[in-house]
Amino acid sequence: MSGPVLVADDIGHRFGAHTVLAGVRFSLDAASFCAILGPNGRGKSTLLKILAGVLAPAHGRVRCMQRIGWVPQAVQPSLPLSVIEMVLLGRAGQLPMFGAPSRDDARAAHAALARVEAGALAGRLFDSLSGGERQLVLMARALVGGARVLLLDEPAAALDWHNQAVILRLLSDLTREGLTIVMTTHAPQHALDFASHVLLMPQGAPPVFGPPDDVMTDAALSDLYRVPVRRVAQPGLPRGFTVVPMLAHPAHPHPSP
Amino acid sequence: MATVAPAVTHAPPAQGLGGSPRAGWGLLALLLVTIVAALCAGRYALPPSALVDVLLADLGWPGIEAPDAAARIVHQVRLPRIALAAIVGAGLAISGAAMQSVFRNPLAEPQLLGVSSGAAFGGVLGMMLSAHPAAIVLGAFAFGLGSLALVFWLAGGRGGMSTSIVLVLAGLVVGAVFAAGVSLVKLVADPQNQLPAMVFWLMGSLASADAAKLWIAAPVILPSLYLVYRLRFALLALSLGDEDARSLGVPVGRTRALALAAVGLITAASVAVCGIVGWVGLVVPHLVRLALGAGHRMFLVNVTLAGAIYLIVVDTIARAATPVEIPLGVMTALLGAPMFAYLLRRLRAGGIER
Repeated sequence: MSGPVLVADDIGHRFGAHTVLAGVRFSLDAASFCAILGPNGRGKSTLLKILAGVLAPAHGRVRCMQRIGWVPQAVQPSLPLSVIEMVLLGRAGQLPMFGAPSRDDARAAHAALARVEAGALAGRLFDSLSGGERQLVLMARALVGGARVLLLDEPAAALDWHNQAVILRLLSDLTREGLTIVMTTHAPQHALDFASHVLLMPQGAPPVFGPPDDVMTDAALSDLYRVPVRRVAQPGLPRGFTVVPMLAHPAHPHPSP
Repeated sequence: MATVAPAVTHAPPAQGLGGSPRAGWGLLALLLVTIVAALCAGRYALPPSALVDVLLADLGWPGIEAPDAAARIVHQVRLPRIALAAIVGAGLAISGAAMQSVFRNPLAEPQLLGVSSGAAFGGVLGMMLSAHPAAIVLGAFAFGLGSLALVFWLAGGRGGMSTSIVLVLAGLVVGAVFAAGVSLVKLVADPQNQLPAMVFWLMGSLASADAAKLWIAAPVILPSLYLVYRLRFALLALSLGDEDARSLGVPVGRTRALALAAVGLITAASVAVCGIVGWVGLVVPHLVRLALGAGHRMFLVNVTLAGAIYLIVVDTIARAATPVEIPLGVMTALLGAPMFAYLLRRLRAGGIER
């Protein structure tokens, strides 16, 4: 098999004097599904932007062997774009500056929209879509650009359970087609159920990377989120258990904020 | 697998990229009708049959001779004026659409760039120096270009073009300086001979349109207009915001610089030949979107045609409606502002707000 498709080589970043990222190292093979977990403000979105090439890292470098598609949490077009136009814009990078999409591009856009099972949305205005529908459309946009590595910023945030399932299963399906998925999330359960790799980004400690079974121990999660976390057996789930944050528990492991 | 539940779908039939080419053909036909009507209308009303005679005589149709006065009016007065109105209207309308994409703001319009103030200063300066009419036009154009260069120089930090907010501020600064310059020139100009001409010119007018002005405006405006048209997909990408557009691989800075250079050229040439004509770039794109829907495939074509039609109509009203000609810039504002107010209410009612 070929080597890794996405390598983060000692990535670090700072905004002014404030260090937001340090020592991020990982390597993902094709068809991996990596979840990035960490408390707010630990630079998850920043890391994703650096991986996407939108932001230049202050330290280290990213190596990617395949085309990357960045799926932001939200896009606010200033013009009333239709869904199919939004998907077509995924091709903008491949077209020359003075180019316009061809019929083939349009066909590819419709195919990508069908791939995320959102073909019926083509004629709608992007602004009129629900959060879940927007995520699907932005994923189709990344796919139509030929992306083989998808970087998603909290794709399941602010979605109801049904739509969370739709998005996560779709991502999982895409890894079976050989795509590599990297997503940030605040839901450890999503990582447990779907991810093949996890990057934990704790406060004041170096990031930890590895398979969920090795990395996502109760102690590590309790540390990460600074609330006690317990496992509860739950047959029928991929790993047979859920993790429950005990938010109301009086014995807080880290009383300091 | 399950799909995202479509709550209530009022999906129109999947219409490809939106904006059918049929609307473009309709607008082209409307443009031709408008031109014919504008050729006939005026203080010297020309019956359509006389117009047909003039045109057939031009084509060398045997046995047809047009009355001299009618031929002169068509050739020397109305045709250049209508052609200039069409070119300037088309240019300003597509410039407005480009500005709205570049600045991600539905209220952006060509004057935001400060170029029209620069060109206005060049024009009144030429009038004060009693320059030849052609020199006044070229001076206005040159100062327009100078102010464009100044805006780019002010806004361009390291790494070429900077963010759109910096560009807006640079345009504001340059525009303010040249607007002050215009006031200064008006202050020191001869109040008997020069000042009225300046005031009238600044209000915008196509009354002095002739073939020479057409030859100055067309070679600048038409290629710039085509440049913006060719940038249409990259401009659409700019409406997503810099970061997102960049992540898609769009050369954001270069697209913005090219589009603004084209807008600057169009604005400078327009002010040079017919003074400051506002509101066209603001009203026409919104009007097109309201009338023909949101699809962007043919949007800039439709905006171009609609801009030409719009300015021909407004200019014809300006010269034919009243015994004394109303300045074009006054007419575009008089019609444009209420029209925009109406659009604003419609858009808000439709919930398309940003």
